[in-house]
Amino acid sequence: MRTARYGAAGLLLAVLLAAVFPGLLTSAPYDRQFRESPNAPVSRQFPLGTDELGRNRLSRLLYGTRISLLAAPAAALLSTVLAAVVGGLAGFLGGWFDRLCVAGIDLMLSLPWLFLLVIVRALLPLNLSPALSILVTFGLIAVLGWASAARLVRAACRSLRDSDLAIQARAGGLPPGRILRKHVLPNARPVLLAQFRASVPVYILAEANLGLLGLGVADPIPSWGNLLRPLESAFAPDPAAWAPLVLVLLVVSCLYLTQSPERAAA
Amino acid sequence: MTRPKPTAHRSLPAWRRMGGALFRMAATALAGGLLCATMVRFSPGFGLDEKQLDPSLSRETQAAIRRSHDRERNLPRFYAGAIKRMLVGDLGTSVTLGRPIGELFAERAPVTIELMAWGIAGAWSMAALLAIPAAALRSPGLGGFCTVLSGVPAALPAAGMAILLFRLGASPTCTIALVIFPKVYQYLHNLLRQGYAMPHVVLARAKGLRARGIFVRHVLAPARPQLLALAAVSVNMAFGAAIAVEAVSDLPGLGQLAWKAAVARDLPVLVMLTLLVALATQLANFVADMCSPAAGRPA
Repeated sequence: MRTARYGAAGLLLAVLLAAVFPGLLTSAPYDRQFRESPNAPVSRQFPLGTDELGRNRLSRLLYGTRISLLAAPAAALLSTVLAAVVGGLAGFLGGWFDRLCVAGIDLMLSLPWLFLLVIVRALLPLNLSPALSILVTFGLIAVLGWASAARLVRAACRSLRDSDLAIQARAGGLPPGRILRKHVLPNARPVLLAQFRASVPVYILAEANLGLLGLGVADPIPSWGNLLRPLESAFAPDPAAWAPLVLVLLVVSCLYLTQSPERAAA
Repeated sequence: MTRPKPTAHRSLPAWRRMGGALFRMAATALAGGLLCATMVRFSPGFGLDEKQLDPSLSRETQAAIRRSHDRERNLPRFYAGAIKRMLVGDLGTSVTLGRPIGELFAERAPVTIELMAWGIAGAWSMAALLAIPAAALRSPGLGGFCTVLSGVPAALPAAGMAILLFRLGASPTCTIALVIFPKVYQYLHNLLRQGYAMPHVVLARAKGLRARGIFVRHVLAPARPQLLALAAVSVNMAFGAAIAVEAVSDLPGLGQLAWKAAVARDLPVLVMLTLLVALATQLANFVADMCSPAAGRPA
């Protein structure tokens, strides 16, 4: 199992390096159109062929990988911070604030995740600039993804609030804010870390789903979601067009594999 | 900071528990609808009507259109009006399709319900088929094989899997089943593994009790409340998957309606769908709670 985890981590590192330094594998920018060769098959010049606009699929895949692999952890970090604030305060303060937060969490969790994403994305402007669409897509995923993590953080903070260390700190005259900051949240760090790591693959898949449904990152900026779109519309897609789906499968599997101890503990 | 009070809700009479649960269900669904209506009200482009750009309409007509939208700007009035109309069976009209929303729901709901029902049944069958032997035999090889088998669909986006299976000629039901299966398998496997590790189960096995008897009486029976909760969560997961599957497979269900309404920003449909979905998932949780054997037991 340890060997498999090291292998998965190595593979993730290789994909990340290829995404951060795409020039190592291809020299074409992601938006350059080779007008004389649209829908070109796999060749030495185009290792994954070209799309219907003549853009190099490999360079688009590498740039798309960079966006997904950098923006998904950023979104996971934001949602973990939100979960820590809401869950931490709810679990620590208790009372009406806790009940209000629990009602909010229940409300968020009562709606299917993809449905919630689709609905809220639809309420925001759809004709955004490509760069802004990245921010909106991943920001939305982060803002809507805190609820399940907040529930776990709340439970952890609730048990820490009644623990011996918190009682001793209260007896020693420490103000509640300091107890929360110095004792409760640092002790809830393993839960937060596990939630962060569990969120990354979920957010990658969420972006892929949104992009495939036409509500994600806007063209010409590539992302795993919008790179999968041609598979839906093409009558008989080129086998190389499936590469983004294979890469998503590979990367998300590796992410799950590297975090297996936390998942098993959960 | 107060000491937690002992909860007495378990010893309440059944009708009060049921009433409380029904109230919570309605309150959550209404809060979901209100939240969505609030977002709709403050979303960019709210209250704009392309008819206002039509030069063939008279000034009076355009003023009347403007006034009708002005009324919607008051959020409490907008939502109260929508609830009032809903109570008499009028869910409003779809802006893009130009048809009553109630009619659209009635037409499309059977497609989604059938898809979800078969999908959930398929996912549970697959999960049970793998989780029961993996937990009972405790074989690392079988456990690893089942984990890999359930890990592959878990690592694919639902819409991507829908396209892949659509290209392979599989039915949309299979896709829904495969989307839900990994989560059901993981939870079921953990639950059964814990059940088989209980000291009385280990003792029963050591004494040579029949495997079926142990499974039904000592492993499955205590896990019933969690299994019912998982069944309720499956409904939630199945609807999420239905959006992607129906959109990709061009199936005229509620999932496809949600996607089309989102792409076309058909806001009345989105509000009503949110209310309907929140109500359906709350209802599933309510039924699971009521069926749970722990529900009637005093604490």
